[in-house]
Amino acid sequence: MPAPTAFMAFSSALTGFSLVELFGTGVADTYYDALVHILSQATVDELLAAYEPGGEAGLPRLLAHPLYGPLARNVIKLWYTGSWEQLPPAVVLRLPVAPVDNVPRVISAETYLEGLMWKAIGAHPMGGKPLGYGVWAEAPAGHTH
Amino acid sequence: MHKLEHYDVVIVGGGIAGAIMAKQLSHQQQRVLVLEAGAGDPTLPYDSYLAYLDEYYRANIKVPNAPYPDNPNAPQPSVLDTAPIAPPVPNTAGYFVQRGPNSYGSDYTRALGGTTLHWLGTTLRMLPEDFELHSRYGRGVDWPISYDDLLPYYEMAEREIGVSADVEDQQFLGLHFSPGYVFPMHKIPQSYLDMWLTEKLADLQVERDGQAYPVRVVSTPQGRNGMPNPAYNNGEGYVPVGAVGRPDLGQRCQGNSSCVPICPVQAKYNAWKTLAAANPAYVEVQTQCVASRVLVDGSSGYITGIEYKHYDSQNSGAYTTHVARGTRYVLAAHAIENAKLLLASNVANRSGQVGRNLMDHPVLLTWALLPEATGPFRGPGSTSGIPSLRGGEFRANGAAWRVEIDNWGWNWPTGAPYSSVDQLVDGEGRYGADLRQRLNAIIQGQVRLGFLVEQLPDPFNRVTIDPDYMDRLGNYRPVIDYTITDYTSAGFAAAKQVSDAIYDHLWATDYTSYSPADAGHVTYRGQGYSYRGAGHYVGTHRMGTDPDTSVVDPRQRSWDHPNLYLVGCGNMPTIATSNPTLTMAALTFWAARNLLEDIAADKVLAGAELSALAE
Ligand SMILES: Cc1cc2nc3c(=O)[nH]c(=O)nc-3n(C[C@H](O)[C@H](O)[C@H](O)COP(=O)(O)OP(=O)(O)OC[C@H]3O[C@@H](n4cnc5c(N)ncnc54)[C@H](O)[C@@H]3O)c2cc1C
Ligand code: SF4
Repeated sequence: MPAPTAFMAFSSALTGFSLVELFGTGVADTYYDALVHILSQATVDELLAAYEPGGEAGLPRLLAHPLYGPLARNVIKLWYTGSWEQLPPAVVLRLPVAPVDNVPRVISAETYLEGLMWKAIGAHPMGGKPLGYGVWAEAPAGHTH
Repeated sequence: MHKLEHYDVVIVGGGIAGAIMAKQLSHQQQRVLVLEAGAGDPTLPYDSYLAYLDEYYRANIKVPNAPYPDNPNAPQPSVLDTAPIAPPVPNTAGYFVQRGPNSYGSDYTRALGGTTLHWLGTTLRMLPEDFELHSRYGRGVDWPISYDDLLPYYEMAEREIGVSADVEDQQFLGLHFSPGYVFPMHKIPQSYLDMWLTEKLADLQVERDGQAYPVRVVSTPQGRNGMPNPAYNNGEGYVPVGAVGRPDLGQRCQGNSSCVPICPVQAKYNAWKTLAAANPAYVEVQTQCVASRVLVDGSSGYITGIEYKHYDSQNSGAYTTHVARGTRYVLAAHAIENAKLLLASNVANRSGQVGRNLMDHPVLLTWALLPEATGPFRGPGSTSGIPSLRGGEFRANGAAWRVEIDNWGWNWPTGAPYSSVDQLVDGEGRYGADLRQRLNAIIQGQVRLGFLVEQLPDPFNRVTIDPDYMDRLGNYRPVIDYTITDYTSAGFAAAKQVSDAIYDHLWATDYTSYSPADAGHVTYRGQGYSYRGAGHYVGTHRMGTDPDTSVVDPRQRSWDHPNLYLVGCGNMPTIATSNPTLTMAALTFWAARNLLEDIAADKVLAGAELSALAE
């Protein structure tokens, strides 16, 4: 399913990466599908609906919410690592999440390679997208000596 | 299942040791059978390597064995199975039965190609003084051969593995090279972090046992492809060996930063390269064949066959039993599996030393945040080290170590960058641009040192077998007894002091923490230290000059069975401070030479008998 605009805006605000960067990963739809699969369409819609009115300015409040907070943090980690992290028991109790879906796992080889954390730290995923021979000898990007 | 009724040589194990044997013997027209316990297509198709890579990408916990699936018919240890041990209750969570009291923290791989599939590729030579530990410092034992004896074989091993290093950097603590020698390839560029540390630590001195030592950062020889040195081999040069089945790939290290557990392009050496270079007309490799017993003729002492269990599928424990026969035999199944096989067969053990003197490099990790960005998570796992304290008079009192400078931040001790994301998101509630920047800032400052601490041969550190603990095919599981002695702990204490001095000197914030809940934890003089395993299994069938105290003779042949050679790190009498595989590979070239010499001697004998008959 194509990731809806609301999900992308939400993701951008959560991750600190622009829409262009998020689309550039090529796995936005994969994440949206994974979320819908794990949490159900209704829960994802509810989460996005909780975000929309406040937008970015409302994020601190949303992240403090007992249900939406943990879900939003899992969305961040999904984008950053390409993996699903197990939701805490208190959250699972309130949601129709199947235990088999809530196991920690890498969504796919592609999402592993597209994890935003690698970009954030000025590196590349371990085992993929190598920078080339000897680049490790150079000063890190943005470094002023 | 094997094809011929009789081979010249039957080799057990398709790792680097077995592969070197197969290569050397097959190029001398010896018919060789390699029995390999694990899975793997003997034709080594490139696609099957890619399947390991995909497995790695999708693995949730990227431990060294993550790309190489568990195989209940040829089980392998996993670092995830280690835990503190409360004797007398053993830790039986994984393949090993660990009786402790300390935890043995290392794994190995049972698949065609063996553990070099996930090794890091550090290829240091031993120091000359390491061969004389007992006569110099009254500790451990001496080797029956010297550094100079091994020197030509080191050169063969460096060619086989494809070592990148500069001789100029490696002449320390008595290490010397043949006149005019250069390594096949120039040194791998040192990381930005290495160079930063070189500059900052240039004026630092540390003390051990009242003597001052410099803290010198030196490039590390590595078994990964760099720039060929045109001066190699008297000006003949060297052509880097690329990926098996895709030789255009992996001619240079590209900085994939995943050498452990898998180099995506095979720029890093693995034993497939040596297997692929054997003479195919003379080598037969059979996988899914687990050697279970070495058969011996009671009166002559000659080995008569290798009994093995062949399974069709990893999904079922069904197997058939066969016997492979040859004129000579080589066990190359890894230090633990070799010892297990000998014990299960009751062979080669007149000395009672089989399985004993098991060692590793317990690795003391320390980690800190630097005041500057140094660009971690780029490049090979380690490109430099601090070898200044690998040798010295202090070895009379406490273990030596080498320091590995790591290029992957806190990945090993804390699981960064994953753990850093968790900490910032869950722990500190960060998100958005602030999260992105903060993550960059903390990762960029991450530095991690590893002290590979020496252990002494100790007869009570050992692998044994016990019929109560069998695997699915009815083969023995290794039972491990392991104690970290005070000699090694003294090395931990000295290592931590030096680490403190380094971090202080760098104005770094030390985040090292050790907990009794860690799998490997010891207390020494009131301080707790946690160590990890290095994967350096050494000493389980050591060589020596006395058949009463050693398992193989200086030529690497069993004292008890004239047609049996043992190869692998099990032959090494001490572990010293270098990662063992280069030295073991050198010994294996030496063993291959000696085995060929035995064959030639037999021919002369046979010829003499023939001419005697003719007369
Ligand atoms: C994480 C890690 C990193 C390492 N990094 C380095 C490094 O940087 N530098 C270094 O010097 N060393 C390193 N090592 C150690 C190095 O990998 C080993 O020393 C080396 O692989 C040993 O070679 P081997 O051929 O004796 O055994 P292996 O490579 O383990 O090969 C043994 C083979 O025998 C097969 N086998 C086992 N049992 C049987 C049986 N019963 N029948 C038939 N076949 C059998 C196995 O399946 C395997 O294929 C590392 C180890 C680990 C775990
Ligand atoms: S840094 Fe990358 S390319 Fe180089 S050896 Fe390691 S995994 Fe292979």
